[in-house]
Amino acid sequence: MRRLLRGIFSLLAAAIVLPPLCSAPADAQDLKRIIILENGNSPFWDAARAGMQDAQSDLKLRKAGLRAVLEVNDGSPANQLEKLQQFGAQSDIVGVGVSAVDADNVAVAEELRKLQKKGVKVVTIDSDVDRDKFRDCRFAFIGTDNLVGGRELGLCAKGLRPAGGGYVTFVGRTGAQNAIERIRGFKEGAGPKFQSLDAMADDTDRPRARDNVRNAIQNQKGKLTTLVGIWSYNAPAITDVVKELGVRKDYSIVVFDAEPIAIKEIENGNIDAMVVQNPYQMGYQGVRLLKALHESDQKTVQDMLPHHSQTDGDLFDTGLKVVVPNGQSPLKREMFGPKTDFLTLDVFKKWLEKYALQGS
Amino acid sequence: MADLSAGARDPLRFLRRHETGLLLAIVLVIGLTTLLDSQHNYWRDPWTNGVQIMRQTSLLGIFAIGSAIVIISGGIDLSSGSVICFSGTICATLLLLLAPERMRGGDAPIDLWVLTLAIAGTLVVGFLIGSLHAWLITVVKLPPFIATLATLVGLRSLAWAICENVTKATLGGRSSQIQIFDPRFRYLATSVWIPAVIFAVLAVCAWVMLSRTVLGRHLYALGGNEEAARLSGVRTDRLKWFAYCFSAILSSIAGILYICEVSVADPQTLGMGYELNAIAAAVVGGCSLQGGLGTVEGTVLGTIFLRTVIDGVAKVIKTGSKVYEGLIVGVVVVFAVALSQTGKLRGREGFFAGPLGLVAAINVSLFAGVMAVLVGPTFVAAPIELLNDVTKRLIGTTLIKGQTTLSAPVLGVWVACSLFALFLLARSSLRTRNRNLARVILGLAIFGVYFALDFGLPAYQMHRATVAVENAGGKIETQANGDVRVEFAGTALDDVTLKSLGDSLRSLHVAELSLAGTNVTDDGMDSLATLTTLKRLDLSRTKVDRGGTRTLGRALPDLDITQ
Repeated sequence: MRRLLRGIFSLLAAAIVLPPLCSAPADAQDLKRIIILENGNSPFWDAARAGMQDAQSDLKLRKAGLRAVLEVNDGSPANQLEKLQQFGAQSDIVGVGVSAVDADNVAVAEELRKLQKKGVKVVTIDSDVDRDKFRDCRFAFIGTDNLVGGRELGLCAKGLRPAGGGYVTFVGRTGAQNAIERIRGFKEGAGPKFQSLDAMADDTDRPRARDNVRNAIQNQKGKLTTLVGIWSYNAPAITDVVKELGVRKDYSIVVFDAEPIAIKEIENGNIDAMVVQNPYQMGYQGVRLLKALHESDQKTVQDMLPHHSQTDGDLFDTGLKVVVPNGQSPLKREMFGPKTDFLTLDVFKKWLEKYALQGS
Repeated sequence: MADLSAGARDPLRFLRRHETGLLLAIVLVIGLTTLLDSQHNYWRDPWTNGVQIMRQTSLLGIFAIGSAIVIISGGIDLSSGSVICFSGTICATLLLLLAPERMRGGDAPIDLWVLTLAIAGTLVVGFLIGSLHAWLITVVKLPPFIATLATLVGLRSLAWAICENVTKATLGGRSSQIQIFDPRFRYLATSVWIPAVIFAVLAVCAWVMLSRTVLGRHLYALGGNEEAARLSGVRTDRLKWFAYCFSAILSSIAGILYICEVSVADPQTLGMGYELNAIAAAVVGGCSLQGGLGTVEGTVLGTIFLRTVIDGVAKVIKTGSKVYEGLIVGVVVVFAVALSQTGKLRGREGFFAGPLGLVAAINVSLFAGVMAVLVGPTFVAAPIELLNDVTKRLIGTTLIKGQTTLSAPVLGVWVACSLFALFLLARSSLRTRNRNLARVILGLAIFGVYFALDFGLPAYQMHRATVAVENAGGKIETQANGDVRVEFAGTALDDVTLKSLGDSLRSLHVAELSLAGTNVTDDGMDSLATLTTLKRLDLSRTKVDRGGTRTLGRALPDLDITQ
């Protein structure tokens, strides 16, 4: 009896442990990997993954003996470092694109240098390392400047409420680099008539994100005019609570990123403006550049970064979009920077459709 | 104590020890990882990989020993993750207060006296936290679980508040993290050998203390039976003070090393959830949460075991290993602890007796079924992949390719039902002879059902699919190389019909599909995304545009599309 049970247990253990270990298709195991290491799960990275997959088929990666994969990360510097160390200990990785959790982090920068020394090509994607100190840690940066993005969001707030007022920023972690830059940019863009009342962190805990909005509305009554979503999931948290309390007309709502739910909410009139990055292109161009670097394909590298040796020639801008619900919005094209696309929701949705994306 | 006297009489005691089992398990995990890793990184580059495991093991091991001592003394320390966070932040804060200029990223190294003072200060903080725990437990009479739960949530918050206020006061701007630049200070962790030596020294000290001193014997006595220990004159309150201080100070040492390792003190993420890793390492290493049982060497091996499993998962699964990591570690912890308690389980009727056992059998069967669905038909292929070609040929027809033709849900149901039948047999009260007969019959039935499903189901599905495709106006040809080609060119096929044919096309293992000139649009393309055997798709003269085929290209990257 006991033996039988032991046998069953051993089989069960093998059944549980072995399959995931072997679940990669046999042919995929001979391919070298191009990895993009993200900085926390969100639909933003789903769009980046779609871009990587399109690059994989458009650029015939498999024929070149390569495959492109997105590696998840819990958004903490410790986990990012551990992942990079893990990459350094494996022999089938030819390129790494990393979204730096902390721009200033020496440990991450050193690990990137070690990878480069091993011959792995390194670029930063979406979130760069400190360009003064660690520029040599990566070949290039592909993405959008979060500071500029924050500024455009600030300009949205200013355009919606020229009289200004108090605002609260909602974010996962106030210490994350993109959060710091977006919040700083927002302050600059919104101008002196706006005062920051609080920056509320939720540790990416969705229920807490909603509690934060509730508390902000209750605690800052009278002063608060604008609610600012800094990370993608903060948008639905804000709109849910505002709907629940029935206070939509009292506040302007401006948010970063276009999660599928946020797109629905802007359609229903619950969001006034969104600043949207282009994660699809970050994924696509990241794979394109890493492949070119791996194959020493100077033509593509030259094509993507023609002024690489010059100041800031190693930055590949994937563009920003300001999305407003419709033509009646008080926000107008001329309020924003020349490089920023200004779109109504309809045009934006057509763009999403063109690339078969749910969000961006 | 009883263990020690028994050991003197039993020369083979070593082999029966939990630690020996763990050591073998570690060797097994390393061996399996080397074998299953398609790059065989452990074999190719043992040094880098050894350093990688050592780096993680020594950091975790340092505070796991602390947790083990508390567990042996009959308590529990839930706060180690937060103590790591708090002491790491305190260390960075002290550095910031004592050398603000250097901490801003200047090239000049921080003075040695500043470093010494910051480290000493942090260790004192560790001592104070440990004393707070002991006071809450022995004087305020809070259960250890509650006392350390309070500090688990409280200290992280306090660390964050301190960090924000100190950065505002010294750097001018409020920040929720403090960066560490000084390479000399960071060398404490980046060297890897320093944490390893600290871990080894602490482990040896703890081992000597537990197994060779009166203090150690009293700790076991306290954990075994607090009341008896107190009545025999052991000062239990002092012992608890020692245990919690020891744990907190070790966590503080780990906190200092962690901020050196990641070069930032970030109270929002530092050490989050680490207390559970430490407790897991201790219990895998043989510590009992009831107290009085466990060893330092067991905890050290438990830590190495956990880290090798985690590293192995990352090496073998390669991409997205984090998805399975928790699951595998969870299962491994249950097995390791269950196996270490075989002595306790002896004499029980069985794991699956009684009504609770029945529900447990359902649970385990369902779990195995879900796993089979999740990992899909490669389930059967997994062990086969490891065999050489000759063996594969001997095994059987469908398995030659290393694949089963069963779809994931059918396979899942087969696994769950078969396992449940085995459990029912194990629960039954048949006599030995009948039981053996039943075993044979059931075994044959399980494999019979598998082969019937593996051969019969595809044949049936193929028949249905052929009829469905032909009714929709399609033609099926098998080409010289065995590829199946389905032709709808020129028919009035629309999205709705195409969607309804999705399952049929999958059953046919279609390799080439021509939809040229049909009425399909972007909407219908999603139904083709599950056709994993599809190699070529002709969409010429249809309304499908680039956007429609994008999702298809993502699901089937090797697909050749004509538009």
